[in-house]
Amino acid sequence: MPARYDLIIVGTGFASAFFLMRYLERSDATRRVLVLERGGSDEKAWQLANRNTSSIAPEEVFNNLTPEKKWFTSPGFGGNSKCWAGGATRMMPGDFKLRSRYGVGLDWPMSYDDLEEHYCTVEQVMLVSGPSDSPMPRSRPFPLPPHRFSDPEVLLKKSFPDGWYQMATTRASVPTGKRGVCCATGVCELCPMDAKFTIQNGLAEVYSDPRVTLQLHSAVDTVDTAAGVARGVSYTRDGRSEHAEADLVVLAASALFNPHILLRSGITHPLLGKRLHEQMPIDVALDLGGVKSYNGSTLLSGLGYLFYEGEHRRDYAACMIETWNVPFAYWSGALRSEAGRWTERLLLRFLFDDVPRDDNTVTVSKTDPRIAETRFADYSDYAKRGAAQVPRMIDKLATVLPIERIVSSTVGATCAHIQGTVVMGTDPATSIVDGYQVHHKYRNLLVLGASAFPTASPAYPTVTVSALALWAADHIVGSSSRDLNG
Amino acid sequence: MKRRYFLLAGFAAACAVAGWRFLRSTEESAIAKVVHKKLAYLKLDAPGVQRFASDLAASKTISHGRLRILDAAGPFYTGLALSADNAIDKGIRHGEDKVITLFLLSSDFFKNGADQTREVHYVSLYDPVVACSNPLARPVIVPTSA
Repeated sequence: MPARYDLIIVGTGFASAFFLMRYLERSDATRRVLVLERGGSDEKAWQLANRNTSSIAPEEVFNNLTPEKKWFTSPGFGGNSKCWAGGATRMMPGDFKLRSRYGVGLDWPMSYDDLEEHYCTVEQVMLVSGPSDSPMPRSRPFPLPPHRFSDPEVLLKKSFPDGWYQMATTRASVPTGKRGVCCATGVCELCPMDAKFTIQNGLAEVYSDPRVTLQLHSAVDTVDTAAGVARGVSYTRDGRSEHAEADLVVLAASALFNPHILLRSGITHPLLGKRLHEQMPIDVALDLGGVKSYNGSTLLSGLGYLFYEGEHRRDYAACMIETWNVPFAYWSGALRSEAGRWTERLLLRFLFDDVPRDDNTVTVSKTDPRIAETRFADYSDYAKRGAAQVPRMIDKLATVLPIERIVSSTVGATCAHIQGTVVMGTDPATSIVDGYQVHHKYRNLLVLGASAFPTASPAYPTVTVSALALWAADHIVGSSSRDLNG
Repeated sequence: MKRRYFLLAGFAAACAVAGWRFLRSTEESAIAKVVHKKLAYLKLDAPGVQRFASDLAASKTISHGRLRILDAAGPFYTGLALSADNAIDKGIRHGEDKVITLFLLSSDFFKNGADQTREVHYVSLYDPVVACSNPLARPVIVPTSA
């Protein structure tokens, strides 16, 4: 007889943790929750000792058929909160209305205003550092003060006060009592200071709630369904096949593994596994004359919104610009060798939003169904038209910065975001889950995370993933199982 | 015909010398050459540079192919001052910058305030996973209440 629960959650990353947090807040003491995590605990000490965030190698869980396009994932408790860099930008209001405002891509099935309160909650839980001003409307200040700009950013802020901001980030700018203070080691995936928010250092308590049973080393194979209802899941633990049943099943296993599990379950849809995407990154190194760089207080201290919102989005992708502070470890980062000019180099990353393509996919390996496979055909022409604007954007920055020359300009291999594949929308014919990330057909099955993103947005996905999980939990806890099933 | 044989023999000899130099080349030697050439304006502790070269080569951080070509090029590399936009220099510049970056961060140079008058000593191979090891970062200044 399979064990029975009120709720089964698959995965322990951001979407899982924030959904569970809100679910437990709004549920009574009799609820029983099972959380299944494929990996182990991989605690911080283990990560530092092994210089790795996961004891499971990526090739054990997914096969990248286009390896020149990289995807980062970190199986284990905490999911990708272990390997993320802590960027905590909200999406802009226009990102939710791309179709209706600009005639491009798709609208999201909710607005920025719908998520604003949830964004605030997420930022408070994560103790996000950010500026007192903001490119998007905010009802509350950031919990922590902002990081310190590098010298080039001071110049940019002075000339573009509404176009350059200190980055919203969970890399703590000041002591929090929970985490160390970021000192720009530049290896955020391992962060020796434990300065960034992770599920382990910020939300682990939800998994130790007496109502919750957390099972590690439990790889979910399928969601079991009957008569249009999700009945539970089948999973493999220590080589044995096991089953559990629940009134509500939540997949929160990332945009790589949510579609993989659904495909293996026979829960099909013409779009399932398609529209895998992330932002298109263009990495640029500039030599400056007489301005020292690399001297902000964290990995990335500033973000440029000069080329983000605006009517240009009708023609080409919006752009968010990152300023990097570490002259090592990442792409073209390096000091100069000329006497006295070692730090007169600026590293920028231009992130362009993408309109996802159907030929970028996650599928099930034919040789080993336990393995997900990724194929990436290309970015959209919309994103590429945006990237073609980089020289013009540099010209604009050159009105402020003493740019001597462009050292390098290349398309980056990854932004370390994984989005799309179980797209949300209002029409069951053109989307798989609704705006609350409830499956259109199986109304007691939720598919949480960036897999639901219909479009990319230049912003980082994490706080939106987390806010969407709260939004979904509020909806679910307010609905009876009868509502969900019917 | 004699002239053709002479040219062929010369070409073969040049290839043999280049091949011999490439076979004998080492990454350590190339790394030391890069440091001494690009940081010639600093007083460098030579044994320290050699230890750095040895540690960096062992770490496999830098692609070894270009380094061995640099070492094989020997005096051509160390003696020629190519312009920044020269195609050959462009090809090797990024690797050079990486070596210089790692040497400066692995030394006491920035810890001593980037003082060009002091001798620069290698300390240990730069490891960013050591907490707060980035000498260039400036922390947030927390305002204190009166």
